[in-house]
Parts: sequence; C-alpha cells; structure tokens
Amino acid sequence: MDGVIQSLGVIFSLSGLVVLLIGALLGIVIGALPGLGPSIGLSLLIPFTYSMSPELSMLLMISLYTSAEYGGSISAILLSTPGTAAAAATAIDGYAMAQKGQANEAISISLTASTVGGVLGGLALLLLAMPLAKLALQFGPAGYFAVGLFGLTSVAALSGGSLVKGLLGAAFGLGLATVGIDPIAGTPRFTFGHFELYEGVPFLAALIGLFAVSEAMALAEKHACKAPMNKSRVGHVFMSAAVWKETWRSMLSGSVIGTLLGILPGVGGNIACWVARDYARARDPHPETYGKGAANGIAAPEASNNATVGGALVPLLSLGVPGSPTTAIMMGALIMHGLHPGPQLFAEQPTLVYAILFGVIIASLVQYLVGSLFLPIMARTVLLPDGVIAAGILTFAVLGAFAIRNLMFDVWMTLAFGLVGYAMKKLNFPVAPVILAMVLGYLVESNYRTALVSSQGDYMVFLTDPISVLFLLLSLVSILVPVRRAWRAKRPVRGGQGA
Amino acid sequence: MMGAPEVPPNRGIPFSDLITGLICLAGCIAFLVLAFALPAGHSTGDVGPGALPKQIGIFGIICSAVYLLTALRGGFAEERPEFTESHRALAAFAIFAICLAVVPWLGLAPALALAAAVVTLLFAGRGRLVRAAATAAGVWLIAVLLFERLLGLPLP
Amino acid sequence: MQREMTFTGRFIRRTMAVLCLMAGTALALPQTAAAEFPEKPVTLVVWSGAGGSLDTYGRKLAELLEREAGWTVKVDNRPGGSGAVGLSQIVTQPADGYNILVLTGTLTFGIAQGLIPFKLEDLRLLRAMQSEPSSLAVMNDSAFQTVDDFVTYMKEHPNELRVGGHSSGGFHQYMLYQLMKQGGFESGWIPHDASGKVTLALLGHHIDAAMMTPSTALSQVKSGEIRLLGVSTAERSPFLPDAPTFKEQGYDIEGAIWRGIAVKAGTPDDAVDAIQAAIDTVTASEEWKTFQEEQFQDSPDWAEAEFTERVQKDLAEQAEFLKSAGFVQ
Repeated sequence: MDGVIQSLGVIFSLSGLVVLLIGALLGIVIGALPGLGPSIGLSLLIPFTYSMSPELSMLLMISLYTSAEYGGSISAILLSTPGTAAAAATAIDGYAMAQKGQANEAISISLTASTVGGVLGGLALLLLAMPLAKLALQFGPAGYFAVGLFGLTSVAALSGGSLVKGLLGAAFGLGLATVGIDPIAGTPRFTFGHFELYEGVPFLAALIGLFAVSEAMALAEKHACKAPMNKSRVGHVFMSAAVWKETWRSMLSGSVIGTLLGILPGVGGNIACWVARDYARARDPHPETYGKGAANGIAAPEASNNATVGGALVPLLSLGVPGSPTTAIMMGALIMHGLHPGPQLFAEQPTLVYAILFGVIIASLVQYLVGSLFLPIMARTVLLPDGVIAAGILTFAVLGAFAIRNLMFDVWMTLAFGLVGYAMKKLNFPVAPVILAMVLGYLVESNYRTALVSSQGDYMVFLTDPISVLFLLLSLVSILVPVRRAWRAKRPVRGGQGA
Repeated sequence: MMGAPEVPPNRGIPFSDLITGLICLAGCIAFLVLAFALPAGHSTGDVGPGALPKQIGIFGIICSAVYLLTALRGGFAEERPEFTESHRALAAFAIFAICLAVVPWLGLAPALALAAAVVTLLFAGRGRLVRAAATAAGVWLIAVLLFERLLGLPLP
Repeated sequence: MQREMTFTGRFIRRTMAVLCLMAGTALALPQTAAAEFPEKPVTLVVWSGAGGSLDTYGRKLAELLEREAGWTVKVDNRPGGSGAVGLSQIVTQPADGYNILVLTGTLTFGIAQGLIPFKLEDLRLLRAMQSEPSSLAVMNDSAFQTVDDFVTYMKEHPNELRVGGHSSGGFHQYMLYQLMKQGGFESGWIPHDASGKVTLALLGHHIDAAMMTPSTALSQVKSGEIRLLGVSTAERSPFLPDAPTFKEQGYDIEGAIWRGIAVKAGTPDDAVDAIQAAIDTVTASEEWKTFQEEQFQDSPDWAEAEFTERVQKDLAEQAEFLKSAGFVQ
C-alpha cells in the first residue's frame, strides 16, 4: 500500500505532472507526423532519461507512447495520412468525415475514444496483469497463425464496392510481406540483391506511400484552391450525448480487443485497429455507413490502439519480457537504471511499478487535456491552401520515410508506393486490404511454418490447440456470415467468389 | 511542367481497367515464376520459403482473371476513372522525384524546400510566388530544426 | 642536347626533393595529429535500430568516450540488411578512424551465409567489449537435470523434443549444433524472431528446451522457474554462480555473442592507437564496470590481434555449421 501512495505522490508532484505534459505534447506531435511513431519517439527520448529518476523516466515514456497512439489519428483524419501504423484504420472513416466538413467532430471522437481506450487498457494492466500474462502464454505458433488468419478475413469488409479489387489488393500486400529473409529457412526472398530489403519491405514506407503520397498527388489535380466548402468550424472538443450514445459500445469493444491483442507479442496496435473496426462493423445495424464517415469507424480503432499500450506492458511487467519494439525500448531504459523488469520488481520497487500502472491511466487523462488544447490548432491545418498542404504532405512523407532507417532507399520506395497508391485511387482500388495483408502476412506465414516445424509436419497441430481451433472457427464464421447475408439479399457480389 | 498534354478521354471500352487487369496478371505470373525459383526448406516439417509465395501467385492470377472478365463485361462501368487531370498529379510527383535525385549534391533539406516551392507553384491563386517562398522556408526550417536538430536524424 | 638532359635531370631531381620534403611533412602530419586524435567529432555507427542492447552499449560507449576521454561523439543508427547497411556506411567513408562501427558477433554468420556482401578484411576489428553466452534452458518441471540427461534422451528419441531459440542459422542454433556434434544426437530447430519470444515459448510450453542468452529470461532463471542445464562459458559466470557450464559437464562448448567496435581497413595505426587508448580509459572507469554488471555482460576485452584471430576462427567454423544445417549450399 505504501507503494501505491508513494507512486501517486510521484505522479502528482510538480515534476511528475510536468513530465506527463511534456510527454503528451511530444507524443501528439510525433504521432501526427507520418513515419514517426511511438517507438522512434521513445528511442529519441532515451538519452534524456539517463539523468531522471526511473519513475519519472517511465512516466515520460508512457505519456509519449500513449499520446503518440492518439496523435497518429489527427493526420489520418485531416489529411488521410496516418501518422502511425496503428492509425491506418482510422484514416478511412476519419478522412471521410473530414471531407463532409466534420473534421472537428472526427478528432473529438478520436480523442475521446483514445482516452477511453487508454484508461481501460490501463485498468486491465492494473487489475488483471497476472491473468492476462497467463493468457498470453497460452498462445503458441498455431494460435498466432489462427489469430492472423482471423484478421485477414476482414479484407472482404474493407473491399468497399468490389470484392475482387479487395482480394487483388490483399494478394499484393501478402506478396510484399514475403519480401526479405525467410523467417524459417533464412534465405533471402525477392530482394533482388538489395540488402536494404532483408528485413522486408518497411511497412511504414508502404503506409506513407499508399496513403500520404497518393493523397498529395490527388490534391495536386485540383487547379485552384476551391472555396472552403468542407472546411468546418473548429473549436469544441466535447462529444455530444448523441455521439456518446452512438459510439460507447465500439469504444468498449475496441478497448477490450486492443488490450487482448496488445498483450500478444508481435500483434499489437497495427493489427488491433483493423480487428476492432471489423468487429464494430459486424455488430453495427448499419454496416454500409463504414468507409463513408461512420463515427464508430473512428471510435473502435482509436480506442483499440490506445488500449494496446496497457496490454503491451503486461508481459513486460509480469514476465520481464518485452512484447513489442516500443516496450523493448522501455525495458532498455529501465536496465540503464540498473532495474530488471519482472515479477520481482513488484517487491523490489513497488513505487516504480505502481507509478507505471497508474501512469498509463493518468497519462491518458493528460493526453485528453493536451489533445483538447491542441485540437483547434491541428484542425486549422485543413484551412491551409491545397498547394501548401500537398507540398507539406510530400515533405513530411519524405522526411518520415527517411526517419524509418536513415536510408534514402526507403524514401525512393515510399515514392514508388505513392505512385501505386495514386493509380489504385484512380481505379477505385481500396488500399486498406494491402496494408492489412502486409501487417498480417508475416504473422500468418512465420507462425504457420513454426507450428509445422514444431509438430514435424503434422497438420493436426492446428486442430489440437484450443486457441487455434477457436480462431479458425471465428474465421469461418466471419467469412460465412456476410456470404449468407449476400445470398439472402439476392444475387451474391459479382466476381470474387471464384477465389 | 505547366504545359498540359491532352489526355484522351475514355471511350466505350474500359481501357484502363483492361490495362490494370493485364498488369496484375503479368505481375502475378512473374511472382509465381520467381516463387518457383526459391530453394526448398531444410527443416523437418517446413513447407519451405516458396510455399506461401506460390499460393499468393496462384491466388493473384485467379483474382486478376476474374477482374479482367468483370471488366470486359463492363462490371466496373459505373465507376469509370477520370484521368484528365492526372498530368498535374504526375508533375507533382516528378518534381519531388527530380529534387530527391539531386540530394547527393544539394542536401535533403534544400532539395525538399525547392521541391515544395515548385509544387505550390502548380496551384493557381493569389500571391503564388510569396506562397511558394513561404512554403520553401517553412519546409526548410521544419527539416533542419525539427528533424535534424531536435530528432537528430543524419539528413544527407 | 646533353646540357638539356642534365638540366632536365637536375630539374627532376630538384622536383623530387621538393616532393619528398612535401611528402615528408605530409607523412609527419598524422603523427603530430595522432596526439590530438580526434580533431573533429567522431561518429559511432550502430548497425541496429535505437533501443536494442547493441544500441544501449553504443550509447553508453559514446557517453563515456565524451566524459572519460574528452571526445565529441555522435551516435548514428544504421539498421538494416543484417548489418550490411551499417557496414556499407563505414566502408564508403574515408579510412581515418572518425567513423567507428559498433557491431556484434552476428557479423560472421552474415558473411558466412553470404548475406553481408563484405569480407572480414574490409574491417579492422579493434575491441570486443561485451559478450553474452548461450545456455541450454528448460522449465523447472522438466525431467532433465543435467546436459547429459538431455543428450541421452535425444539420442534415444531423435528429433522428439522441440528445441528452439532466437533466429534461424544464428549463434544459438550454432551452439546447439556443437552440442549435437559432441553428444551425437539429432535435433530440429524452431526459430523465433525475437529473444523475448523464446522465453514466452518456453514458459508457455510451446518448446521443450531453448538455447538462449541467460539474461533474456533473467527473472525466471533467478526464481528457478527456468533451469539452465549448461552455459557456454569457460567458467561459471559471476552473475549465475549456480548454473553449471557445458565444460564442467564434459562438453567442450564455449562461445559467446560479442559486441565490439571496428573501423574501416586501412585506417592508420596512430588513429587506431588513439582509439584503443580512449577505450582503455573507458573500460577502466568505474561507471563502465557498473554498467557491465547491470547489463549482465562479460567483458572479453579482446584487443585487435586476439579479436581478429577469434573472429576468423568463428567464421571458418560457422561456415561449416551453416553448410551442414542446409543454410548454404
């Protein structure tokens, strides 16, 4: 109990609050810039944390981590250029809403959902860390494979009008995911002698290219700045009661999905945002509004990606094993202070542990405060002339692509993706399936093959593992339900059925 | 780059869809061929590095074929793409590509500032030159102050 | 004609003399400069991304070089290409000692497998400063108490246990391969793409045994939840006095993944000497020793000759392992 009181003392001390505010401010900016996400942000912080106490350095990092997850949605909504990978799903409905002149509403939904997700994820970490860690341990390679496959089934929902276009996009994304050194056999695939491709096509290069660069190119098509027909009033940050009523369910489901996927190493927010959106869409009485500016299409993914923060800290604190690159950096910072995360840390450093546990919740609230101060400034970016926006997007795209690995190679790859994205945009191909397949391709393939290597080639491994069976069944359901609905409606969707 | 080449408007046949379908098909076939060239795995039970790529290739070929057939039957008629303004988009792209190509001599920040200025010039409106200069200065400042100084990126 | 010749000859001789003088001063210059190396900021090129253990080491080194040796140091992360990106960054810069590569023992695996398109001869390996061993780990509910138990079981039931670890064709699999050769058994290998996932797989009973760095499962090893059957060090590590080595159980398996620094081949000796002297002041400092203890790192402290020799030996042995495991044809 002493630890609890002392940790709250640290959090609500002047330095604690200052650190939380700075973290939130930096996090929102870093998150909003395409290419710079929480892990780059944290690694840039590391040198500054040497001289701080471990509690304060953790508060700073958590605050930045949380706020960056929210910040990514701002640029996704305003400019259709997701600032972080986990905000990719938000770009679809968020940008559609902004186009309808509701940029302000969209950001306030995102801010609220992010805060709710962050708080619920933090509560789960505070109250359920041990059981959640035990749950994470149940997932073997077969289980991860089935989870990935389940995620892939939402391609159909993301395809928009034409299923075959979505499936072609998914094939493209899966193909991209196989580039690089093979996870099991160690041979390079499709690298054409470029060692820059050994770690695979950088996911962020594809994300920035397909969303940001293509959007800038589409903007360049306009001759002059049109009258600001879709430039809305900005200012208020509070969601109306009607919006609360509409979105609370998807915030809740998003938070649960985010927390659960956050605890699984190698899954995290990049995948949780799609699963949460798909779940909300499947439960929604009006699934056809998704992609056209549905409030739940923002609330669900944004709640989920912030909830992954609490989830991702579960294996770190309860097992001493980082589950994501971002938490690995936090572990590095703790080790720099001579501390080794793990169950014994609760006994050795209760103040620190409770500072982290409460820190996640408080940081989400601080993020709401800072976010609401930022909102009016951020929302005004859409008032800039189109030419400046286009040039700005391209500039940030180039700088963000360079920041991935300090390589010009990645910048060129991003530009190439921009060209592809532009062509897809013109031909009405949805880009979301490409991104989703790219995120899941590696997860699915490496775990499928790891499972088979563990079982010496026995395919029964997928049917004897209960988690695998559960998610395989869920995948089947999520494919069959829309098909049945389509049959009932009248004729099935044209094309696509062949695959 | 302001000289506007005339892009022929679409005629009755879904020309762009056909080309897209053929490109997809060719891409998938090439991918499949490359996948078959991959070596076999060497761990017991492993399906090998080529297994998933082969499946993707075949899946892609089927999808491309369905896409082509749908396009031929006029399945995408109601969403006919418009390319009349594409030269402007491609110009913006080309400006950035050219400016990035001269980064080894110019440095990244000045090259970006130049590219941003030229791209803003593509747009009509009052005070174009002033706007371009302001954009260039802003871009340069962001690149140098935010990315190079604050974030410590080794910009070329 | 002859006069002209002699004139020309004299001219040439005189020019030569001037040139020699100039060359002499030019050659002398670095010597005077050596006392002052570095004259400008030094860049530590870390061949992995920010936040990992190599980066932690690189940043600590930078900090201590600034504080203890008075250098100005910049850390430059160049991840990608299994290290090839960082390496190419070094070899495309002048060989003047101002660009120092911070690298790990995966260097030899990358070269042996043909992934890193450079040779050992492209570098001068200056100092190995950290190293971590591998170990054979099982859960505490496993029946195996010693390496012999494990080897005997595997001999009778080839390929039956699920043995895994970090990366495919890397250091830990190489250690298992040595155990297989000496113990005379067959085993598969289940690769994981992050060392943390190995710990989770072991804790979740998704693998039966792991070859892993002891510190990746530190809290479980300390609490006894994970049992280390053998560690690949020559003597018991001061960090884990209860964990037996392979050697004391009759298996001649010794190996560690090192982290160290290198410069481009052709860097003049005086620059290298200045770097070595600066590293000596760093390793002698109290703060470095504390850092090594907190990180659970052994300090091999191999200087250039020993370091190079060991790495060459590693390369030859690993090439053989990669061939027999099917990674190289």
